[in-house]
Amino acid sequence: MDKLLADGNEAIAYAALDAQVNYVSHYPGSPVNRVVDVIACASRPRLPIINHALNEHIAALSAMGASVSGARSILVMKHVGLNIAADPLNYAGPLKIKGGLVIVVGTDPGARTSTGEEDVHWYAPQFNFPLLEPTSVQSIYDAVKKAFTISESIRLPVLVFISGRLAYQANLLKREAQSDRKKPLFKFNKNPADLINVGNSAVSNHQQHVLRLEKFARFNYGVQQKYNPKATLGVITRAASYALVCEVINDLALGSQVHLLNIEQTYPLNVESIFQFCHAKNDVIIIEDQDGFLETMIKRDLFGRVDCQIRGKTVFPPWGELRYQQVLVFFTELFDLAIADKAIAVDRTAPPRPGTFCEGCPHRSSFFAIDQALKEADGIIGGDIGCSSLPPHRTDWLLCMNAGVGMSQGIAQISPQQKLVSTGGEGSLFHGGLVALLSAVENEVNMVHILFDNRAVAMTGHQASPTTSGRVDVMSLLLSIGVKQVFKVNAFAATEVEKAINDAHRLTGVKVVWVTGDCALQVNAESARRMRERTLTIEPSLCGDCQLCYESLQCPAINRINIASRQLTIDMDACRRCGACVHICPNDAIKVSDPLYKPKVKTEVANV
Amino acid sequence: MSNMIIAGIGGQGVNKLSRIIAQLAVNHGRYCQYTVHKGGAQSLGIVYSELRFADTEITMLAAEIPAGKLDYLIALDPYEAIRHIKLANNNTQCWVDGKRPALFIERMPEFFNESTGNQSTGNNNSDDAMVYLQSLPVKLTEANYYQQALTRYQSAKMANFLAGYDCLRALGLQIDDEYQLLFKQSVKAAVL
Ligand code: SF4
Ligand code: SF4
Repeated sequence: MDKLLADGNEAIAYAALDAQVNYVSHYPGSPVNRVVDVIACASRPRLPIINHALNEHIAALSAMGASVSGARSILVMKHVGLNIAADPLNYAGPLKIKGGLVIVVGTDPGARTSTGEEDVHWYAPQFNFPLLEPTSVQSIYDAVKKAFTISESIRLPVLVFISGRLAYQANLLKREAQSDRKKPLFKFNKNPADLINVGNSAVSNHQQHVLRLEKFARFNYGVQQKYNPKATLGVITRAASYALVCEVINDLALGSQVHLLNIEQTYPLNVESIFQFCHAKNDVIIIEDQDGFLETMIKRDLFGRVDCQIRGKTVFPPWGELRYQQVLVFFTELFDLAIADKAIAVDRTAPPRPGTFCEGCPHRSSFFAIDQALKEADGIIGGDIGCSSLPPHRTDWLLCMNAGVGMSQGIAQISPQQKLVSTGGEGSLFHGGLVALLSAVENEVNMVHILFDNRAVAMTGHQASPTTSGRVDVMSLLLSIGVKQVFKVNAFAATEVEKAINDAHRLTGVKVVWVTGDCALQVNAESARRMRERTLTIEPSLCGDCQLCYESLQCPAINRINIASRQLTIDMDACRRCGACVHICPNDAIKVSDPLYKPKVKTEVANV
Repeated sequence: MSNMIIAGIGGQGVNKLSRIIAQLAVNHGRYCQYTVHKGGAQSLGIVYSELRFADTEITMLAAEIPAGKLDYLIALDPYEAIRHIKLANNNTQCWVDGKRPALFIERMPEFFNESTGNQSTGNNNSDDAMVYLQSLPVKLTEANYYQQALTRYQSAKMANFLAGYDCLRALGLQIDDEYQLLFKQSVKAAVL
């Protein structure tokens, strides 16, 4: 097969397809957010079953079920998702899986697409699963494919970590066409010895798990050695630092003075090969991002066996993404070289650009309303993960999934005199927020939850949520778990949202303000019609210069006409015709040309 | 061996233009590795990609372009040009949309004015950025891709196409048809 241009996400997807994966289970998360979309778009005779799980815990359990029934399975999630999947995955080792189970985790040094750069490497020794860390698009493809056969041979799940850098890197990829595997026949076989993990069997399953992993420690997958084997300075790299360090060494022409080892099988290590590399060196530098997992493992495994100095995190910090400049400075100082810098002198920096909600985003209008409702009381706003966490950050915290409703319960219980709303999208509600709401109901907490229902898991690329299909009757669901009152409001009618929040605060118990409004990037017949037939203009003679639409609502489509003026205009190329600005303008200065536009929207209120 | 940065903000099509230019290079027997940096890919946030071209297969090149080794810069926003210009050298060629008004950041004077040295609060044109870029020893092509795209295609989303076109022309590559075809295809492709 010819080589094709592919990025890390595509390489993972192609590897799974070429390994003839049978079951794909995931919860979407950047940087590996596109993997399952690519798999789903592929056409081949036997497309795998795709499980769009509602959280990582469920995604992991379903994949384990498919694997013990003999199916080749892949589980895809981001690093923080692994925390949620960790509970079931601790059982996947003793389980003795059957079909290869490959767990692909997108990591995020530098926290470009996450609320944290947590280092999940430490899960490898905790789960006691092999861990592979590819270094390029091609090696991602090779490692994911190989992981299936490794997993089947030692009957353990195999972790493959892909950092954001590599997940969004593209290069030429060579796919290998495969002869069809035998048409699989899947069957769950009862096997209590392996599957009932309590008491004595828990201990013997644990023992067998450890022995199966030891078998793998004799493997030596993906070892690359470069430069001068006789050099007394050894450099060890993993993942994205491999190419980075090679470029620095080449640029400084240090090839004759360095011996480099890159390790793709970072857990468990092949101790003998690392011993061979280290024992004749004076100095070994481990260059990796994050907490120094590889350094810790090497020091543990070589303890007392080598005399050389091994350094890692005392040289490169555990935070942020490893940069070319850091590595360059390290080597130039070590070898006392001068940096030949051809860069021009620049004394200005660009302004930070935090980004924001899209034009026409329902969250912009909702947060405007929340602000209005809470500002007098200096109320508390509980934030959750998803597009609603984009700037402007009006919430008081941004941590993990379900932190909105979850932390709010504790605050409402301990400090009931403060006005508080928790927020979260429908993705969060079904991820775990529902349990948190029920828990608040059961504990008779007084709180108001704002449910942003934009009918998509928008942030990771518009995967479907349970309200996309409309299968879930949200109103009945919320009332049936004991929510006191549900206010269904249109997100783009900010004054209505504000009124619902205030009404909700006057009641006891758990109340939900269910704010509906499609994600602005969802294209359907109605949104296309609006774009065609609706025009908005700000009438200067009516505008009272309150600047509410520009400064408080902050829709990026509303701009000042020039430097000096405060006169506003709407950029019709950017505007999505959502009507949020029309609704909040106190002077009716924003005019809509559309016979079908109805400014008044009714709020539905329901209770049991 | 040459290096290019395509810079812009979320929604301007940086990712798409990178894929198309990389594909063109590959179609013509060169090699290209590119890395997209897109944060949460949120609207109006920083997005850029680093492209590295070579005549032989690229296996050992970092994702990022070292300082002084930037050969080409396409910026769909003047402030995004400033963000990456520190990697340039005296021969770097730049194509910058010089008339794109400061988008959204102009309403956050607390950091906008400070970092741009712009004293007049609420300034929403980007002349200050262009004046600064003109003072630097790089080869600067300034155009109004945004306005051209609106006029010619009734959509600002085509500014990336026009900027890429200018760049390919300046590099003496007569591959207009192929470039346009790739663009058309990528508009249709669901996953890119
Ligand atoms: S909200 Fe209305 S009155 Fe206020 S600035 Fe905007 S257009 Fe003018
Ligand atoms: S200008 Fe008004 S109608 Fe257009 S997207 Fe912004 S808020 Fe919505």
